[in-house]
Amino acid sequence: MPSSLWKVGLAALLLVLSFAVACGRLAAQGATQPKKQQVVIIDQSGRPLASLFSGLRPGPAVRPRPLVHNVNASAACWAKREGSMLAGDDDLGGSRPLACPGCTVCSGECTCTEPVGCGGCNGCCFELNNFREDRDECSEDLGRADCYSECRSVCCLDQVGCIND
Amino acid sequence: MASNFLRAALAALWLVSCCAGQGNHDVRLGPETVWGSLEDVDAQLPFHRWSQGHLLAWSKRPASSPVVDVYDSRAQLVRSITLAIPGAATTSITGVDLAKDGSLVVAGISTQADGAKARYLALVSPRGELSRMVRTGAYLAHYVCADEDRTVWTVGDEWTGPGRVKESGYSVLRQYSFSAGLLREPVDRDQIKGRVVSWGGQVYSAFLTCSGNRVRFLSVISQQWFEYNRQTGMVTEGDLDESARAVTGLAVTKQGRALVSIVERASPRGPRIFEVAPAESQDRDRRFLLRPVPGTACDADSACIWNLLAREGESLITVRAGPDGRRLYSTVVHDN
Repeated sequence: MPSSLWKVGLAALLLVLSFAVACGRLAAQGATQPKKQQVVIIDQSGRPLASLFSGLRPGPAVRPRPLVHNVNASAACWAKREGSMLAGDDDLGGSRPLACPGCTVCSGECTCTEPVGCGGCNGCCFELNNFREDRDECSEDLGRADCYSECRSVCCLDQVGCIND
Repeated sequence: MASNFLRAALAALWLVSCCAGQGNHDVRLGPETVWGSLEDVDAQLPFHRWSQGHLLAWSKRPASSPVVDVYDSRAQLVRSITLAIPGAATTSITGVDLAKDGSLVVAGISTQADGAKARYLALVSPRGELSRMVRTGAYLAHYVCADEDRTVWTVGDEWTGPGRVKESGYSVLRQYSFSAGLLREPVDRDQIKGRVVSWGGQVYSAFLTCSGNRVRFLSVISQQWFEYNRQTGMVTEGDLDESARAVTGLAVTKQGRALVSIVERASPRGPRIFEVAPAESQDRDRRFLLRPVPGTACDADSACIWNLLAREGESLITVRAGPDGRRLYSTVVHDN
């Protein structure tokens, strides 16, 4: 009888110990797991905001249309068709075929384009454009594209206005 | 007699122009080292900024979780930081900078699924966690400069609606704090002669630095130069000449001299680095001059300076373009 009591006591002790070990492990795991980062968001006056969009009015629905690299789409490039992108740059003329991929497809954004000056790449000059998203003033079929054009054996990247398909 | 007089006058004119061109040049460039090739930088991230010894590359295109790649001086990728803004369906990054402690400062605009748009400044910790944001109202910062006091200087425009820029009643240059919001608005919009100071295109429309005791920015569109003196709180503004339309970069030397890179179609073999120097005349419209830095002309035999990215220690970090593509250079700058 005393020996069976001894066995029961030992079993109970082992049970308690294993429970404690398991709890300890769980606690340790909790301590090492990264906590979800709390982002502190304020407005310009320093007042806290529940989210970045708190109190903002809904706008036109988001229609993300990612640019897809498509070398055959260069003919769709608005600026290129208009001749403004490569306007007057002697280095880009001639009979040598261009090795650069041309333009990406049009981005699908509603974008207005304004020529604002001259910039370029590798000593060549391309017309710079000012792009602005404008759903009121611009028609939906305007967007922007990335064009790669050759300049002294280098492909230069330029962003141009384009017409969405 | 008349022809002798004409010759003498021409000689005098040449002498004057020669001396004016080679005047008080206190800045000159020393030995240079090629660091890395920009061909190794992701072509999908066409916007670049040099900061705290690293090249930052990003795209302005809206994405669900846009990235900013951080490259070392050899143009090797060391970090790729994803910006995931809670509640945003798409996010555009307009400008970035690296703070001294390795935190990333990001500016841009996010759109919620219901179309609501929020313009923001964001602080991403060195561990890559988005920690703080300021909603900037109608103001979209396009150029950011992380200051040593943990505040952020910005240049941007306010928008009254989609595509409509506000043309008065606010400051294009601002100082923000991630704990207190908007701190300073020193440059009134009415001082800007262009319709906007920023655009989303490939080449920068403005350049901003905030080192030393001055915050400076150059508006490419209006060819204006602004200096905000932190100690006095005064703003000095001046028109630059037409060549400022072709500015491709800005850096400030250790002695506080502002240098810009200029790539002009009209003079493809001309100097590429100019100092923005105070004009000696009292002409109010020409408070600053673009003075060429000797030895920076584009030489047909070597790679030409294309962008002045920054000053790092005693050197200027530039991008030079040549037959081998675009490479990062470090060039010692003597500034006495």
